[in-house]
Order: sequence, then C-alpha cells, then structure tokens
Amino acid sequence: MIWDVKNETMPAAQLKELQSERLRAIIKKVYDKVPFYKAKMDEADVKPSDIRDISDLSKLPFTTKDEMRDVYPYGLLTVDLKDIVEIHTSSGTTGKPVVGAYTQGDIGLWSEIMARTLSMGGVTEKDVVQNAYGYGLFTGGLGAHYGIRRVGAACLPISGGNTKRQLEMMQDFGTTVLCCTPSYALYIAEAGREAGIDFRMLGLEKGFFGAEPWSENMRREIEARLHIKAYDIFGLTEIIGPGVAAECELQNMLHVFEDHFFPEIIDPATGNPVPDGQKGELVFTTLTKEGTPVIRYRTRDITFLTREPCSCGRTSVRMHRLLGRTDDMLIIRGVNVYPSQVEQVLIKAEGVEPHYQILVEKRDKMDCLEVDVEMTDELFREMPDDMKYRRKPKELEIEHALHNTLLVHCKVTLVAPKSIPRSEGKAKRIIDKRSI
Amino acid sequence: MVVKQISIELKNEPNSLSDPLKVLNESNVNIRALTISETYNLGSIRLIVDKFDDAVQALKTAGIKPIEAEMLAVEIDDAPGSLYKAMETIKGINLDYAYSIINQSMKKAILFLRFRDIDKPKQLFIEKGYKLLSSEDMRNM
Repeated sequence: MIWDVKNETMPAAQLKELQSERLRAIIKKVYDKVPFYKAKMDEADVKPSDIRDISDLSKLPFTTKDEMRDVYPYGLLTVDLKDIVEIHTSSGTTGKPVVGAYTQGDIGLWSEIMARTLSMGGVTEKDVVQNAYGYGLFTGGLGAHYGIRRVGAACLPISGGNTKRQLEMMQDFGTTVLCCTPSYALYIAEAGREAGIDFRMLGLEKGFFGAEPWSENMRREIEARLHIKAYDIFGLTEIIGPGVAAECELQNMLHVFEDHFFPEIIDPATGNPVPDGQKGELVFTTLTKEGTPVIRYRTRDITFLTREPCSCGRTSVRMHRLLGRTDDMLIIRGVNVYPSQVEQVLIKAEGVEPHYQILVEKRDKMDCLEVDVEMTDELFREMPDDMKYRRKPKELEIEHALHNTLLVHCKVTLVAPKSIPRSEGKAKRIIDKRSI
Repeated sequence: MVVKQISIELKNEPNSLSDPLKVLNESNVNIRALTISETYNLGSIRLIVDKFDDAVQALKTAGIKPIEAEMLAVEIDDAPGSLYKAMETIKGINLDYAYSIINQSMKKAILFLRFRDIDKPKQLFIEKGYKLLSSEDMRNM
C-alpha cells in the first residue's frame, strides 16, 4: 500500500523540479543562518545563486561526521532554539555525539516517512505494532513510534530488551507487527522456541528491521522462524533517524525517500560521483529538514543506486542494502563502535598495553564483542597464567570503562605480554566472525 | 632446583577432567601430585608429573593448552611442626598457593610452593639446609 501516492509515485521530471526547488531553498537558508555552512561554501567559492537545480549539488562541499561533532551541540541549528521540540544524538562514538534537533515540522516529516515505511509492508490502522527499538536519545524507538502513530496502528512502546515480556506482550495483545534490530528478532525467535511458543499460532505477520547490516540469509531465517515477512529499513541519526529508505512488498532494494533525502554515490577516494549501479560511498543531503539540515553528508556506508522502475509503482531511486563501510566502524547490536574508542579507553587504563584485539561474533543470535588486552610485564607478574582468576577484578574494571564509552557490553580478557600477534604495517585489530 | 608444574583450565562441568587425564594415561605419564580448584566459572587443575616434557607435548598435540609454572619442591619431615618450621623460614614472603604429598617409605613430605618471585625463598630454604627437589627427582621418585 502506498501511503503518499502523490509524492511516492511522482514522475521523474516533476520530482527533479521539486528536489531542485527544495535544494535552492535549503542552501539559501543554511548559507544565511549557519556560519558553519557559510564558511565551507565561501571556502569552496560557491554561492547560493550557483545552485540552480539538483545537478548542481556536486558543487557543494561534503560534510563529515567529524565536522558535525566539532560544532556540537547547536552549531548546525538553522532555526531558533525555541522552535526545536526534540533533540536526539548519536551514541557519542569517538568524542562528542552528533546532534539532530527537530522542529515540530521535522517531527511531522519523520512521522510521514515512517508512515510510508510501514505502509510499504502493508501496516494499517488495524495493526498492533510492538516497537522493540530502544526509546531514548537513539532515534530508532521514537522514529518508529511516530510512524506507527501516524498510520494509526496501535503502538506497544515496549522498547528493547526484556525478551520474556516481549513474548508475553506478543501473545497477550496479539501483536501483528514487530519493529527491532534483525539480530534481536532472531533472539526473540530463539527465546520463543525455547519457551515452547509456536509462532504460527500467534498473529505476527511482518517485521521492520534495521539499525544494523543484515543479509538475505538472515532475512530467510527470520521469516522462517517467526513466520512473518521481514522488511529492511534504513536510516541514520545524522539525516533524521529511521525512515530514510525502506523496502516495499517486493523486498527488492530500498526505496529512498528522495523527495526529502537526496542520495548520491561517490568514489570515497576522489569524492567524484559514480554512475548508477556502481558501488561507492553513500552521501545524503536533507532537502526539507528544518532544525539541523545536512548538506552532502558522507555516511561512510558502501552501496549502489538504481533508477530502474520498481513494479510497486513507486518512482523513487532505490539503494542496495549496505555492502560495507569505508572505515573500520563496527555495528554491535545496533550501536556504532570504532576500534579507536576501545584504544582510548585502554590507553587510560593502568596495567595494560595498547595492544589489543577485538573479536566480534554471533552468540545466541546476538552480537558479542570481546576484547583481548595485553598486560604490562608488572601486572603479568602479579597475575600469571596459572593464577588467571586474579585478573577478574581488573577485567571487570576495564569492561566497565569500555561500556561507559561504547554503550555496549563487551567481555575483556587480559592476556600475557606479547601474546597478541604483531603484524607488519597495519595491525589486525578486528576479527569479525559474523557472517551476515 | 625447581619443579615444573602444569596447569590446565577446564570448564566447570561434568567429564571435563577426563580429557587431559586420558591424554596423560595414553602417553604413560604418571602424576606425582595434583590439586584441582574452582575459580570464576572455570576449573583449574595443577599437576606435577614424572615426565614433564612428554606430558606437555602430549597435551599440546591433543589440543589442550598446558600452562607452565616453576614451583619450589621442599622436602620436610613427616612429623608434627615441620610445616610450621618451613613456613617460619620464609616469613614475610607472600606464598601464592601450595600443596603437598607424603612419601611414606621415606617418612618425608614434599611441599610444592608457588611464589611470584622464586629466588628469595629458594635462597632462604637452602641457607636453612632444606633439600629442594628438581624435575629430575620427580622422574626418579
């Protein structure tokens, strides 16, 4: 079902005109109101009057995550603070978090695009939607919430975790739609199976899964275990949160809501645009967001675009599910984690060397993060291999410090000095055993 | 004059002890002394064997990781007060862990002592005239 027929099926020429008009307006606005953008445009010698239609976008400089952090907290604000009604942040990865500030209009926009997302999978006002994305500063919970409300379905704002209660609610309230990360969906399926629940007997029909990369195999597994149809949804805090792109009922690549979020694919090395169908770094420009518009944001996600028509009738460009990253970011249970954050914590910890190895794997369907850290010679003498139990308090101390920074739990193991293999050149710091 | 100890980490669950013991049995290794303890969700087995190198090799081949440590093996009389006297000898030095066996035919006991720094207690025992045993002695017992 198409939620917004006019905008979702707009002919290409008309869509281009709408995008161009919106781009002109947003560029003028950020140039006038945001010193950060004015300085960047001045430096690149681009004036708002140089931007006449959407194809002029490539004249504008990129915005990076680091730059967005540098202007924390309010540096990207395009309106007065009195017009902001809600603020979200990223998980505060390396240093300061990225801020998304929403006006009343932005919340309306978010509700609309999430309503489009849910309608793509056939959600209507008759549905009962269990929203197991985390509520809070994380955009997943409230973004989905607004969409569910806009569609008019009944929302169960259960948030993430407490799997036993998730299963109870699902049975008691006759949940028809599940929203959560794909790995949590599998976890729920596993917990349900162990509790003797036959998902065929429940009312569950479909699920909307995002916030972490997954695969066709994982989709098939979720669909088989929960007896539902599983849809991939995409979004990021820097742009708005969930609702940037989503799959239709054909489940063949994600429709980008390009009337609001204009995607480009660039060569990450040169910054030059690459043709449709070719892989590269995904870049987004928000065309309508009022609070914190973002111009040519480099997501560091790798994918490609296609403009081939989709038989669902929507005319928007589609993106392939994410194919990788241009940096070493890991996504652990929906949270972005950089190895450099781990390093920063270890440098501050006493008794350990900044020689470490990160192991990521799936255990009980959930991402598990393990960090092996070398002890100093002094600490190793205190806690040799035949007395490993002595390391436990220190391991717990470092686990706690890492949790405070990464916002995900990890298991720390102290190991003997020089026991982590040294490699020539770039250290092999990450072993990601997850097959997505 | 030290004795090498093998320790092996085991899952704290039924039957996990049998794997290393089977390996030692098959390679004809005799166990001289043994202690098994439980730590955070792991079990730990510590062994003194007659043929240390053979035992280490056999365990590694079987995919079991032996952890090596040097122990002081001190011979004391099998008589009241002898342990007390031995400990008085190393007063002020922290002992990490210990276990003992009795050699009935010789009316002697052997203490296996683990220190983080082995040199100081070794010197003190030698000065007091204690007999310290070696891995070679373990082979020939």
